[in-house]
Amino acid sequence: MPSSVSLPAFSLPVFSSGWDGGAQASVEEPILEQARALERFLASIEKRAFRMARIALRHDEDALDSVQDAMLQLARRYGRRPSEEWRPLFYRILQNRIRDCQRRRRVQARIMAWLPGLKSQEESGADEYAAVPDRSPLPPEQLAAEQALQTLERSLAELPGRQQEAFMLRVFEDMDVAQTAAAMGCSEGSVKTHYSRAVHRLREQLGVAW
Amino acid sequence: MSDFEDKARALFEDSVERLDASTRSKLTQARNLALEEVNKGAVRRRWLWAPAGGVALAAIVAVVMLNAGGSRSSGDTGALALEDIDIVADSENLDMLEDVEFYMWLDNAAADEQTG
Repeated sequence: MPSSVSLPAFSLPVFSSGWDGGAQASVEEPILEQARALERFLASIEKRAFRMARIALRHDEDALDSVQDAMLQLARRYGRRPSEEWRPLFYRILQNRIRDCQRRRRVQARIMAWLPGLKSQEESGADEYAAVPDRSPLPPEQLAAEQALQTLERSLAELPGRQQEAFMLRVFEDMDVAQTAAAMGCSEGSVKTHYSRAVHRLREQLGVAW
Repeated sequence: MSDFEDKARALFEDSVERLDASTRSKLTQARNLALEEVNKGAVRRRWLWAPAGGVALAAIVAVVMLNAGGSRSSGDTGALALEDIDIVADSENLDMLEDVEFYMWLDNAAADEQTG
């Protein structure tokens, strides 16, 4: 990923008449600084957020949409809040987007079950090459890591939503219990319960393979 | 963290590092879109508050001028008026009401840190 992505135009030509340049610059500086801080924050979490959304949704485009929505929502509603608040807020928004997407899929699946004609139409329009792997063969160590990851992802995807969230925020995002509780919008006790159940179930499912 | 959690984290980190170029590029585009939104939002907010700020400023100036004849003795009238302008023109207080629950958590977390 290009690390030095230039910031979109952040010059704010407001109040340009009647204000001297120095005053305008002093007003714009905090906004510019906030925008730069937000860019650094988003750049630091976007790949991890995408991977977490991808594990929960098992679909690249849906995961990208969820991350993009979460970024937009954070920027729109909370961009001016102190930067320490962004991480739990961002993950809270992202988890809501993931849940929305899962809910939408359930409704779609129910409708499709009622309308078999539509289902066959939908299936015939699907990209028949989408599932074909497009990568060259991996070296053995990397292949083993890839397989272990796929096994973990499958097991994670089978966990109930809240257990999955608790595990990913605690382990992948390295949040403590209080931060995870803020991101999940629940009590710290609930986080501990969800997390411990998640670890227990994952250990059971992965068994000796791990 | 146990070995199990360590291994899960290492696999996850590895998969993040190996994210393909196309996905990285799409994420960069999404980020830039969000940042443009901040820019638009800032402009919109300023223009929305400009008339309100103007009215408030006019009202405060009027009050200061009306009081100026009777009570010249208080030397800090100008400073007070400037503070009033700041308070009236600041939209942060309204924004705070949008997420009371989150601020309560922050407050509790800060208090816990101080005591523990």
